[in-house]
Amino acid sequence: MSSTASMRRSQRHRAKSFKSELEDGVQATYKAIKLKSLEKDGRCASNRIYGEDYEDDGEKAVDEVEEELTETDSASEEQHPKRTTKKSARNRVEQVSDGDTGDAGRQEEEEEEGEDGVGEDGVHGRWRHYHSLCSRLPGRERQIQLLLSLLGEPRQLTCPALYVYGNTSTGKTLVLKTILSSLQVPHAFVNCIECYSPKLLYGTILAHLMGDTSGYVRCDSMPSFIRSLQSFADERTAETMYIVLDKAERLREMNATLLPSLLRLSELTHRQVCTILVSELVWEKLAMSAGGLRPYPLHFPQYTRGEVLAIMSLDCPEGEPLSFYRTFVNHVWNVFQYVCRDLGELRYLSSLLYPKYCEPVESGETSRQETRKLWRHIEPYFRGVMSKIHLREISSAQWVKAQVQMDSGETSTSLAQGVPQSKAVLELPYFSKYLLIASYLASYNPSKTDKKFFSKQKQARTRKSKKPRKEKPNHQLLGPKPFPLDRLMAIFYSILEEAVAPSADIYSQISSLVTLQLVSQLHTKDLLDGPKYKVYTMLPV
Amino acid sequence: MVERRRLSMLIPSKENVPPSSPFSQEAVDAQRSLQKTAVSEKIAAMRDRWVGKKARTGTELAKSPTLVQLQRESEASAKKERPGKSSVLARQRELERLHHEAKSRLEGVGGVGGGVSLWPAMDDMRLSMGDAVTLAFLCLFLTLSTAVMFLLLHGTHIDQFKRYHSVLSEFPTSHPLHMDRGQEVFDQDLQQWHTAFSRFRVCLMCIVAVWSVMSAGLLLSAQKLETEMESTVLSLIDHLAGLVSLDLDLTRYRDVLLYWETSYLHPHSCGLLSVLGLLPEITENQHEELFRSLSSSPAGDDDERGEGEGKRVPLPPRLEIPTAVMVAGVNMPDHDVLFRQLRSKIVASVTPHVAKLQSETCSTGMKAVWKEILLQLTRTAETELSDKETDEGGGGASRPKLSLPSLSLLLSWYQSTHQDAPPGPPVVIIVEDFEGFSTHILQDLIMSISPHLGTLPVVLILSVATSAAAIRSLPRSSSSLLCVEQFSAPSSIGTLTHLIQQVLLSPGLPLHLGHQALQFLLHQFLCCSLSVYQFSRTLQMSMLEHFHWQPLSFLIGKWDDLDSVVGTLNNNQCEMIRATPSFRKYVEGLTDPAEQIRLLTEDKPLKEVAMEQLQRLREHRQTFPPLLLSLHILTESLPTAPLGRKLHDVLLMCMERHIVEHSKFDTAWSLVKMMGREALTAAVEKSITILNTSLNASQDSLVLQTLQVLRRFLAELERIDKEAQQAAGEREEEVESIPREPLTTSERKMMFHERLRQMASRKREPSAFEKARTTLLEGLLPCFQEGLIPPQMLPFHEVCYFNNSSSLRKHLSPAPRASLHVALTKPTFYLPSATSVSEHSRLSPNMPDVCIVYQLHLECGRLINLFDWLCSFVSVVDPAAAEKLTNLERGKGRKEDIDPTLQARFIQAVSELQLLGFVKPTQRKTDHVQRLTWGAC
Repeated sequence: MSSTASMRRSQRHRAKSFKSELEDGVQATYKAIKLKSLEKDGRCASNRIYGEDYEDDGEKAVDEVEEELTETDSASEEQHPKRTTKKSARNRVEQVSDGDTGDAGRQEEEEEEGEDGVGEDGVHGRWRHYHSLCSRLPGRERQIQLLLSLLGEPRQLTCPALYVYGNTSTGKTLVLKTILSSLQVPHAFVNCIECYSPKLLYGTILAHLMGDTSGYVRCDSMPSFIRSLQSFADERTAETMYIVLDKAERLREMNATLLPSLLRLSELTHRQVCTILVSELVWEKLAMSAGGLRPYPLHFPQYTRGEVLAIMSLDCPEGEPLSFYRTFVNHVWNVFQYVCRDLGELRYLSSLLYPKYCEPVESGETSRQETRKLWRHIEPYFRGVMSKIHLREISSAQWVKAQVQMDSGETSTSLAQGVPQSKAVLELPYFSKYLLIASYLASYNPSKTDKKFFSKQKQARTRKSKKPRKEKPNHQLLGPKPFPLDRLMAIFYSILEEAVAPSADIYSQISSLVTLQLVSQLHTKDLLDGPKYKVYTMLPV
Repeated sequence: MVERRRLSMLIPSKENVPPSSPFSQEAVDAQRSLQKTAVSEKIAAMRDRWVGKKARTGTELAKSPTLVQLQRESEASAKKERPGKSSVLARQRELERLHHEAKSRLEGVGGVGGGVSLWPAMDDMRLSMGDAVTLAFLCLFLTLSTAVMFLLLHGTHIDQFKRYHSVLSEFPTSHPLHMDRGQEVFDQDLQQWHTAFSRFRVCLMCIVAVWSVMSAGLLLSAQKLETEMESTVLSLIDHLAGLVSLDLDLTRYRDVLLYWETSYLHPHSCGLLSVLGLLPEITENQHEELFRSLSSSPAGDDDERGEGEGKRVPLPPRLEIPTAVMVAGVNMPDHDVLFRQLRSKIVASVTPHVAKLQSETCSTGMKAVWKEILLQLTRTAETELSDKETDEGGGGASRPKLSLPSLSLLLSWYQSTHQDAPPGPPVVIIVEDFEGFSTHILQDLIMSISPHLGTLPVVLILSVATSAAAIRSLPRSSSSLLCVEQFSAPSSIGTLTHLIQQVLLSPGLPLHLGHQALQFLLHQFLCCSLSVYQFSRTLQMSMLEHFHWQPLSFLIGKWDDLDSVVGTLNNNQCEMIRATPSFRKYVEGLTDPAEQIRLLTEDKPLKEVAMEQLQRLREHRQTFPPLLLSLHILTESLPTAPLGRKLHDVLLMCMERHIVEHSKFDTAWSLVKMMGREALTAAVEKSITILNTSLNASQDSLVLQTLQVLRRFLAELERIDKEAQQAAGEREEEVESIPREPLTTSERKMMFHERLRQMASRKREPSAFEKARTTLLEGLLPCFQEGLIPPQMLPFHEVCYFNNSSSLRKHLSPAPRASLHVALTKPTFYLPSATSVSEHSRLSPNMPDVCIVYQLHLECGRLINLFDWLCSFVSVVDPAAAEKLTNLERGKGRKEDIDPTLQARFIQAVSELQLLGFVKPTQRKTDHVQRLTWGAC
């Protein structure tokens, strides 16, 4: 609820500021002069002046603003400033509020009574982006606020290193990407998985900063990296550069000195550099070696229920009523919240299930208001999906196909039957099967019992001693134990009914079992030691 | 796989070990390897010379293939040269130099008639000094005479040319241009000059054109000569087939043939073994279905993704990597073929960008993975773009250099290749063995690809050997990025049935497998490998063996003109026919002794019989498959399936002995006698189609007969149906005509009892269907009886049935440990040493040391005392010295009494044994070694 309120407030204030600016003709011309000076700086002018973002695209916005300015100029000459500007302001307000339920009238009524305090900081600096960002990234207002204040103005001193962490799909990457791209500052966004070596990392960062299309600039070491950063910063009139390293936990694997030096980049270059690390781990787990600079931590907590619902309702397909989709999303949340709160998975599920949900409405059986009926229709599908969550056994296309087949069939209603049975039967050559059985027996039976189980002649039974027997552990629970090749072969020959010559075929089958990862070979130092194996397969419970 | 490793250092095979191997196995090995390398290098040198001849016209020096390869490699490495690589290059250069040296030295070795002898008697065939001199003179004479002839033929032309030359040199002086006599004269002169020179030019052009045409003709005829030479060598090979049937010693012939083959035939030309051209085709058919579905899937996914992008979801669109999970089965050797086919199919139909990853090359890390992908992609693109590049000239500039392979490089490459059309064809990455890859590499691959799907459309194909559940080994974070679709290869049993139907039972296959060979083949397939590759290998091997060892195999493939072939058999060949066991059996089966004598002594009746019997064999071959199939169809769905549910079961049974005499056939037949109508008609209809198709191939009486029986049955059934309908109509009327009177319960009971009694007394009449069934089965039985005779009961079955499973087993299913054991216990089995090793004594001093040591070690326990071992070794090798040893044991003698050479020999033998993996040194006890192998072989 708070999000919608804040959105409304932001729109109100934007409209108000815009209007007040345009009404003052003299001020407008002054601003135009200022704007031109700023344009020379190569910055996006529109964002500076109006605190709006009409589009993400900077150039387009510049064009638009120029149009506006010429219009206002001519209007002031013709002495009809108020009518035209007011009209355009109205248009603007409508355009902005289009994302919401769309009643611009109420907006207009409320715009008169805007609070004054908020309006002031909306004009200056990066805070102009705050509200648009918040409307685009619901549920992350606090983080955006913190980030904006930490990132600072282009030539201000900034925090040298930031550490952004939180669970998967809490919007870390998205928030950073959106903020940096809307601020239009020099930045590099690097995924550490792609860059498996420090050289590649340096090269990719430089390429991103310089806007190189090839994606890689040759840079072999940290000193040369620092030098090229310095020269680049001097070219760009010493603005702060932001280097975002996504999946930063991979940096640990590279070089012990890499992470500390990346964190101290601003110190090393004597320029404005802000390193932002993004990871899922807490800082204490990431920083293995002591002595590095401790970056400012910024936590992205899990989304709350309201936030999840707000985000998921952004997925609402075109032409569908939002409230209807909201109820559906609500259902999805209520059903799956105990199993999975991963936003990505939930969005996947809702995209999978929504067509099913809509089916009775489209066929005309029920209206959109009969929630109970719709629920009764969708419930079995929900139940079916519940057991297969996270598995992604089949693609969504196959799922749809299976659903169509299932509907054409008469009886089956549960989802599980619609899913094609994955071929669980593993075809193995005859001897391989026996070898696998033998290795299973060798792995789970203690070798003491071999004689009892596999020897052909009967043993004379020894008299049982009266000693109290120790409680023996279940070997199934202890897990597989290693066994030598000789034992495997002995058991193999005793369980196999026919006599087989120990040809190379059989030994090669053992190695093929190893490559199939049904049996694993334990590495020994000495090649002449008999190789030892362990079985990986489990008995079906 | 210690055992397999041991195999590699296996004892030398039986043939051509020089007798001079008194000491150790190692010496033998070394000698052999030396000889081998010498021979192989010689062959290479010969090939060089051949290549040199071919490249006579060019000025390029002749290079051996290995050298060319080496240079190509060095060039390839020079392409991606980096400063750090200089040492490698230097090493390569060094290697090249060494190679040249070796080559020149070898050519120096070559005597008059050419180098090292390939076969023992080659020295005799070599040119003597006198021959060489005469040959040289002959060459000189030929050269001179050719020169004279040339001058005679073309001397006038040469003179003419000289004349023309002189005329042309005087031309400017003879046709002066007078510049000082005015415009008119100047023009006239110019005109004159022009006409004279043009006339001159036409004449010259004419001569030159004729000349070049003639010389082209000369070159052409020379080339013809060369091909003729090749074909002559080939005809030598063809002669071999005819010669096999003669009673001649062919070893020398083969040696000569080998020489000419190696020196004149291109090493990569198609040899004799491309017989089985039909196998790969079949596997391709087999996989076609899979391919079709697979290759259609990336395209489909691609479309879908395009739509998804078009919609523009407010948040960044969730892109899943379209992934095909291919359950390819556990038959690893086949995968290579499968993926090569798959790759070519995808390249042909979907996209040129295919990269195939194997776990061996990609196990080191992401760098290796990207390198592999980039190399393969750029290579395919190059081959595709090569035409365009030649047009454009400098199109190769966009090729990325592989200094630091990464995703960004791939992205930029893709964008540069597909600038004009933004969607572009997808990039297919095939992960060939999913199980072999470590999870984190695949995870990294997936996670780094997925954010760039918009710009770089990637389709993954993961090949899983075990089951699709193996995908679960990926963590959720990466597996949720995949849009998985499953495909599975056909089951191995299905493949086997297909193979049997298409290959073993096809009439096109000239050679067939007898019972034992077939049993071996099926055993290999079902018990060991499930691999089609192995299957084809076995077939090839059996073909090789058959043509090598069976003298009558020349009769194969000449079924069409059997008359002429059999008619022209000579005396030797007739004797060979008489020697075949099946013919002997046939003769012994004859009742008339006069006939027997005639067949064994005279050629003409023999030829007649042979003609007749071969014809019979051929007919049998035609009828056997369709009848077998129909029998299989009839019996496969029986309750306990006495003849087996699969085709190969029935096939094996039929090949083993006469199926009708089989005990299981009786039970099966009695079950068939009780078959219901629907099942029986379905089976009959199915087998009718099969028989019809085979009938098209050959007009055969037995197949026709069977077909008639089956058709009659169907017609009978139709008749029965019609009659039953009529009868039903009549019965209804009858039923209506029976007066219905109310009966009391006691009366009803009485009537019931009465009827029961009547029915018990009367024997039940078989129904019309049952009658038809009985006639059908009675008709079918003789057909099966006659058509399904096992081939080994037919005379001359040796001609086209290969049945030597032991040789197959020896070649295709080696037993390393057993052969090691044999080699070490019976060294004479492999070493043809003439030294008197008596067969009976287990240990003799003449054996190689390692054999003695090995046999002594067999008697010991887990730990072996080296001194005791030495003592027993000495007592075997040198009984006199053993006396001293007994003293030593009693404490009288000294240790130094043992001969040091004996000690050295012993220690060498023990270390050889250790190398073979039988013993290893142990820390547990001093002066002891541990024994590693147990049990008999």
